[in-house]
Amino acid sequence: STGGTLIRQAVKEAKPVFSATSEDARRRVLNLYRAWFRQLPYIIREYDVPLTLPMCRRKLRENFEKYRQVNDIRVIDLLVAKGQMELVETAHMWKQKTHVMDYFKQTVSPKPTDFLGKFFDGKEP
Amino acid sequence: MLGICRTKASLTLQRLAKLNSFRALSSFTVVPKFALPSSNKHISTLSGISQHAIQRCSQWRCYASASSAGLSQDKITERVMTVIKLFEKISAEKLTIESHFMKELGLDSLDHVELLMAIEDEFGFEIPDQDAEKLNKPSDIIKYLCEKMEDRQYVCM
Repeated sequence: STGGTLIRQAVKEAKPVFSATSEDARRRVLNLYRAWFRQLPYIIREYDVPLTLPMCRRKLRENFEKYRQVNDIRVIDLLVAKGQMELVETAHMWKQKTHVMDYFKQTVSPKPTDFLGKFFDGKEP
Repeated sequence: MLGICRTKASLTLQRLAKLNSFRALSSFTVVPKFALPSSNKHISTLSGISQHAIQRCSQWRCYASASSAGLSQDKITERVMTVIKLFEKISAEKLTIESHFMKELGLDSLDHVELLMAIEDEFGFEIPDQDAEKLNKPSDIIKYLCEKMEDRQYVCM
């Protein structure tokens, strides 16, 4: 019936969050990357974190690569919005040094497997 | 701070100046006068971010006049190729003026963005998104820059 087809058509299209096309979403992502990239030296300076610029750039690239496979435009828009919020908070210095360092994981040394390693680690056999 | 610099060309002086002091000093950049207030449009188009961050990187000083500041086609070519060569992800052997960034040099879109940002920093003006998508080879970039340099008026601060 016509009512059923209308409902089916309404269900297919989702209301866009920000961008109407994937081109639009792509531009948003690239602009977010640009903005973060330009802000990095000032982040290092202002928060006095023990980081170098190459480390920060790699981390930025890593965080963008995490969502490389996402194709849904609305999801991309929401991720960009969250990234933008993080950028605003970081640039305005509303965060502290520890929040910036949270992006980087603590270095974890691998657990020893041989007997001597475990012994030095303090584990009883 | 000096430990992190790439000691390859005079461009590093410009980049060091940006990192070491909040006023960027460059003797070769040429600033279009209507681009100054929005030199950080990339941040402010997304939202109004801290003014102090924006003001820090918008001081350009130019000691050269427009004619001697490297605006001929050859000088532009030279500057563009230097910037591209300094980019670590590109191997210098494969690089020619006609090599395509994505297909031949193996860059992805984020690398392309970084490269264009390096060129924007070198020449001192912003490249809008719709133009940036089309710049896929060094020759495209050189042609685009030549056109833009002719169109704009220059201001030395």
